Amino acid sequence: MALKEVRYYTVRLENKEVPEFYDFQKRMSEYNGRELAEINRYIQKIGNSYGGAHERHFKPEDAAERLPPPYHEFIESDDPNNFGLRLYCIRLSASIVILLNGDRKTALKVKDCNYCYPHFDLARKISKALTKAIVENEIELDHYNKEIIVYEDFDLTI
Amino acid sequence: MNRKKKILEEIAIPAFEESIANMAEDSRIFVDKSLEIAEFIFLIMEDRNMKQKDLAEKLGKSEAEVSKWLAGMHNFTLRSLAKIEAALQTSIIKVPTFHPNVKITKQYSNLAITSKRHSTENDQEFNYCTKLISMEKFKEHIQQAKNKNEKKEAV
Repeated sequence: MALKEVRYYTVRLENKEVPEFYDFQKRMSEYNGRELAEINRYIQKIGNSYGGAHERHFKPEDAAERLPPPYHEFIESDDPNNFGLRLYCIRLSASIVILLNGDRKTALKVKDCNYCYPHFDLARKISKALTKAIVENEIELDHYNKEIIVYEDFDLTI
Repeated sequence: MNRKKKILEEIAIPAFEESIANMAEDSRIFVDKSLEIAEFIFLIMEDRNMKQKDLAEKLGKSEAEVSKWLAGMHNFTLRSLAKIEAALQTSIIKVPTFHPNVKITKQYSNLAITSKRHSTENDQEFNYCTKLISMEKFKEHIQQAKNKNEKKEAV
């Protein structure tokens, strides 16, 4: 997904039919439409304006990041166990971001949330694998053109 | 072995665009305005070489609180905006002045009135606005307003 300032990528796991961000959209649209749309609009806005995806737009979570940004609470929630939607992602630079998957957070700590933890865990594993691949020159980032360049036979192993 | 490189290909995720196209107008306004306000505060701080810590100290808040404001999607209260305006000595929110004889299209109503106000106020404030709202339409509107003013003065 290429916007003016940011190109967004996603990941498809070998054992999954659809890419992670696609799966997130599909699953969340049914019951969490309002929150999903707000996150999507936010992604679109920072993708088109304000000089791209800056650190301040994301909340760091271990080796990865998540949206919505820090401390944002979705309004109209009276449920103490409802912390809103979480979308885990990896900000490689202001112009390259990988959008992954997420769910509704139902516990204060992500490790206690059965819905979010698998997505959080996947995001940090992918992030670590990506960092390793970048360091080993298996992946090249072209920040100007917002492109990720890989060897044709490259597979990311997590 | 000479390994070939490739650029990762683009895929479309129609559900993403659809959810934005179908979102409630108040939700869209909330996201857009909160980001505009956040970026405006960020630009002013950057222009004045202010760190988050400096603003936090001025307001007696934590750095985490300021970080929350600068991310966007924060539900600002009028009270907190007033405190930020006072600390930065700059207007953040401008309420359009209603004028029954001026016909302005819905889409640009705020911008049109804002540009009129800002062009007659001090230049510094005007510059912040053009930096933040870099819309072609907005620039066109400012030019038109200036041309009109020049014509009036000439008359």
